[in-house]
Amino acid sequence: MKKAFYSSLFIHGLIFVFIFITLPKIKIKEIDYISVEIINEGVKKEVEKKVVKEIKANKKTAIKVAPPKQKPKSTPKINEAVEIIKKTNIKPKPPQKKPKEKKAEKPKEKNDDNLFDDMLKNLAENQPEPIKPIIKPIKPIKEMIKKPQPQKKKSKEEIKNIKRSIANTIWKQIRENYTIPPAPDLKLVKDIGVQIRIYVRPDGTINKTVIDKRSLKKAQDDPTYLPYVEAAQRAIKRLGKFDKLPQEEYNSWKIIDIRFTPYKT
Amino acid sequence: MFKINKKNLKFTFFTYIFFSIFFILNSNFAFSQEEPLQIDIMGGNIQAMPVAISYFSIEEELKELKLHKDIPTLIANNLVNSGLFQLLNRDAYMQNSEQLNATPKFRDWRIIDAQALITGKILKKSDNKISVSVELWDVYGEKRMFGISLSSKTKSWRRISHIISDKIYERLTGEEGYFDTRIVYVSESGSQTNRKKRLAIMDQDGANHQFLTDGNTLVLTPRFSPNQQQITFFSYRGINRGIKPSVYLYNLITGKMNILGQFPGMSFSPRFSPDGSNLIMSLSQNGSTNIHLMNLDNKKIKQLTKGKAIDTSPSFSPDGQNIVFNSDRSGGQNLYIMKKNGKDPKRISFGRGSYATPVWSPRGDYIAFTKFTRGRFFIGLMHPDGSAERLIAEGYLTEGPTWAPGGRVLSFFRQTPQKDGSMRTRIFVIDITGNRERELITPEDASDPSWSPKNIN
Repeated sequence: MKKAFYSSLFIHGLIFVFIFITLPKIKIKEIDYISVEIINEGVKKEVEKKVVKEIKANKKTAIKVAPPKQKPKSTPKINEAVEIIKKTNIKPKPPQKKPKEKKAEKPKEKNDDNLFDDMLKNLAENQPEPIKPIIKPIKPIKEMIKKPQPQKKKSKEEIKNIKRSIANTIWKQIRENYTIPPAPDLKLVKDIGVQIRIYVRPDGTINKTVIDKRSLKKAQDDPTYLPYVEAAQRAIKRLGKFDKLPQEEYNSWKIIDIRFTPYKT
Repeated sequence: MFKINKKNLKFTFFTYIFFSIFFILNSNFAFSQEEPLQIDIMGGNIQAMPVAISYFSIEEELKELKLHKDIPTLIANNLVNSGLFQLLNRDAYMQNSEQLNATPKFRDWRIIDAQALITGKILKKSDNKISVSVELWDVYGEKRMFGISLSSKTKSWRRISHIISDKIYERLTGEEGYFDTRIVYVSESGSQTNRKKRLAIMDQDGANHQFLTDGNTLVLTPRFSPNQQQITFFSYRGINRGIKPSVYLYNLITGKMNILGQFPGMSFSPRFSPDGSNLIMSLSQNGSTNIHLMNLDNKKIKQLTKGKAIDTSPSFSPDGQNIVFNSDRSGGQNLYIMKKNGKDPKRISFGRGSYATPVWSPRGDYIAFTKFTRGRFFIGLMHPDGSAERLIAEGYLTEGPTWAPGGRVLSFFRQTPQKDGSMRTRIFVIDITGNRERELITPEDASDPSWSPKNIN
């Protein structure tokens, strides 16, 4: 029995080593980060609640919404549950009502922490916008991760362009909120760049901000560098939530590494 | 060697399946993770930081002194005058000083886009003593950045305010504050033909003004010692007693004045070394002017430059290793740098015009100077290697730059001809960008300012 056990163990080990060698190398970029703080505490649970509410809302709207024939081709696909209900819709109504109802529902779901975001949004709305934002139903996080929408295979160039456009949108929104720390005329500090990683929810809310370990240590050691870290953090907190990020590309923007360089030294 | 039986095979098979599933899932998970999106933010908005400074809470019996308004107002003035901060209108504040005794409601302050909030309270310690506690809050970070509590005599409330301003400035900018400092200068009065010049001193914001000399004898080029307790200057003080115009030392604590020494020629342009142990100055003898170093303990003098040229206005680098001065050894008046022992002189100015009165910045990154070109005077800056020369202020007669601690702000004086033919001379403050120039209010005409180091008392 003992021999049998050892022989079995040997063979398993062999298989294990074989699999380990033959498997392709997994590319993971390792950066040391320290978790610092969570913006909008308690929102996590509320997001899930929101998602459930959204589904319900979608269900309701789906019943009232126009029959699928009238839907334009560009309209984003709604999740499966909604699709099933669509098939059984009873009262078809003109499609224009859909966005109206959504707009009315949104403020109810917002918590107090989002008041400032609302103000920013209103300010942003005053600005002329070249493209009208497309209102898309918010999908549950689980579905977003586990069940991605079946899409046509995009070419490398298309993927590159989409990523570039997302990066541009993100860059603009952060840059708008980033104010260089006071006394920018003193440029004796070498390497004033600050590296930050942010985790974003599917609705664009910044969930977590993590400062790079090296930036954090430098800030602790050098009081002249600390304002640069704080200015970067302030920009993220001031932004609070990204707008106009494509839901279907969530995977590409759910984690963002940002390097703030106030000026060349 | 190995006995292969059914049990073994079964065990192997299941283990194989288990590991395979484990690896497939693991690799699948790993491949499904996209690399984080990389964003580079180069540059940002350059604007004065919006700060909210509420009035302080105060004990009822102190209210009539109005310190709960005066102290925050002075702090606000200091910060706003630096050009780096913008005070948000107090009418827009949603919490009053009493409500701010607890942690502020940051959401209320975010609505007016305050990035920093300053709160405080004043308590009575004894009959003529108060305690001032101030807290600085990061509105977006929702955290307390810093707190300070100072006790002093009630009449020292301005000094308390300046110290608090320095601490706030340092915490928000990472740079050395300069509010708890003083400026010594030459106060001028009388007609152009009968000019009365006396030493005067004031806080950096123009308050607490006082005269140090009576004005019976001419005084020039006052300079602070690093410990803020002494001032050296050039004076005609002993001329009636047959003493040549010389360099003097004035003790601010005792009020006593001493001649630095009897030299064969005339001594002028004195300035302390960074450690305060030596005095560097020019001595004029036999038609040539050279730079000399005097040890203040044993009064021994060492000649640093030699030759027929006029070498003057020496100023030490902050580390005390180099000296910048102006000289006409190459024909025109230019700036030179040499080692502290007088060796390896090297010309650093090559532009058109004459360069004079160089002063090394306390940070060591700039040299400020006076330049005369195309019939006008300028205040300029250049790096110690002579590069990146910039002219930041100009005027009919503009000269005598002096650095504030921290090296971001400097002061100079400007003489402007008036319609009635007289001259108006005033001291101005400007930062190194050259953008925020403002006049310091003085009771009379004022020239030759010298900014003190940070108050160490």
